[in-house]
Amino acid sequence: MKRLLQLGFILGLGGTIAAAYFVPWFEYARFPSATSVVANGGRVEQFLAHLPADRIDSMTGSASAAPADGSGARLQHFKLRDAQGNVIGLAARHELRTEDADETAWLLTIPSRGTIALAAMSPGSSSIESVLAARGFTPGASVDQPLSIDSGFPATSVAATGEFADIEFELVETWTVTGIDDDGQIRGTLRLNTVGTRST
Amino acid sequence: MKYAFSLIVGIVLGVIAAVALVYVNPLTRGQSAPIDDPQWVLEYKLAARDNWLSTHDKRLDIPVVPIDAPLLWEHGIRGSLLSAMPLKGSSGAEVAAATRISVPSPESEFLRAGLLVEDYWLISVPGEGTVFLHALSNQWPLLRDTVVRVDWLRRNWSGPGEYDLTQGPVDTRAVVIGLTGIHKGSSGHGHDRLSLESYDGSLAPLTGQLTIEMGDTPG
Repeated sequence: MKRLLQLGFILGLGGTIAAAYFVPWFEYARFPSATSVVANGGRVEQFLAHLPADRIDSMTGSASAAPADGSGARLQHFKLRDAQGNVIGLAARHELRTEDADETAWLLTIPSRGTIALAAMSPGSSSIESVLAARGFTPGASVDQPLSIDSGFPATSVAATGEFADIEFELVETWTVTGIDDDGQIRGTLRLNTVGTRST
Repeated sequence: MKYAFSLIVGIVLGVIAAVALVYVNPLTRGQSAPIDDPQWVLEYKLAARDNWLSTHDKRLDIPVVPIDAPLLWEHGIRGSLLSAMPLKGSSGAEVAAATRISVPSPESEFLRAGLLVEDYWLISVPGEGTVFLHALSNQWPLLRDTVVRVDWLRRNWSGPGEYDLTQGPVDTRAVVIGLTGIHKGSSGHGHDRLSLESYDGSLAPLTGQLTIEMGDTPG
């Protein structure tokens, strides 16, 4: 009996310590990457955000408000889907307005794969709202035919982690607008088209 | 029957001893030294009124802000924390807007590393530009002193406490890279310190201090 007590103690002690070390405490669902190879050797992958469902800060818009000194910082956050529609990550878009340009920074985090930080500069306003306003679409306006609008100035990756490390990315935003709500929020789809090439 | 009972009692005692060892394990309680004379000192708070956005899968004891914000319940992002907040400078004025995405690391284990969390920050400073900060933090010392010690073991709060949790990704320092503006092309390192004045079952009173040293400039 004493031997069994000792054996049980060793099993309990060893098993728990082994579990503390070997159990994968955090694992994320890893969906297959829907990539294709283009002629120049790059790898194309598209991420989607269905709006308004995937706009995280759409509830009150408080996180989109100009913070700090009001000189034009704007934050947007989205859930990120793969081409099959699975939610695979999170995206943050920061827009800073300077005197003569808009600076846009993207943070794409896919927990099972890694993170990419990208930046772009455009010589005018880069916000989709300003583009729509320039075309005469105001909040509450109906859109008869879906509009497809590219950001025009691709963002390039500055830092990447995980399986994205050692890959240089270029990202183009494409907004497909099917409507504009009364509060100015866009309905439609945001497509983030990335092309990645292995760093040399 | 009595043999089985002996074995089970032995296993239970072994599990209790192992859990106690994990609790007192000094290897998972390492903290890093703060940055001396940093270029930036940015303060933030976890309290609901000090955040524009804070959402997760509701397994965390952190308030969801705004209260009707979409939760991060999907399989691909469950366990993540997304928050957006103003960052205050040493004068107390809001000087930057930040997004933080926190993801528990698969490298976590409770013998040597602790509970590791990858923190990805996007920090925009109007008039200056945007920087990206990547920190690897060990949250175990904080959770051990609060949730485990106070909530689970019903012992007294031992604080107030300061937690220098940054463990990497490079030499116990966060990596900082300039994305746009005057910081474009520059790089440096950072450190995150959490302070908790009181604990009554909620981590909402946590305050944070990001310190950043931009060492390498472009060109």
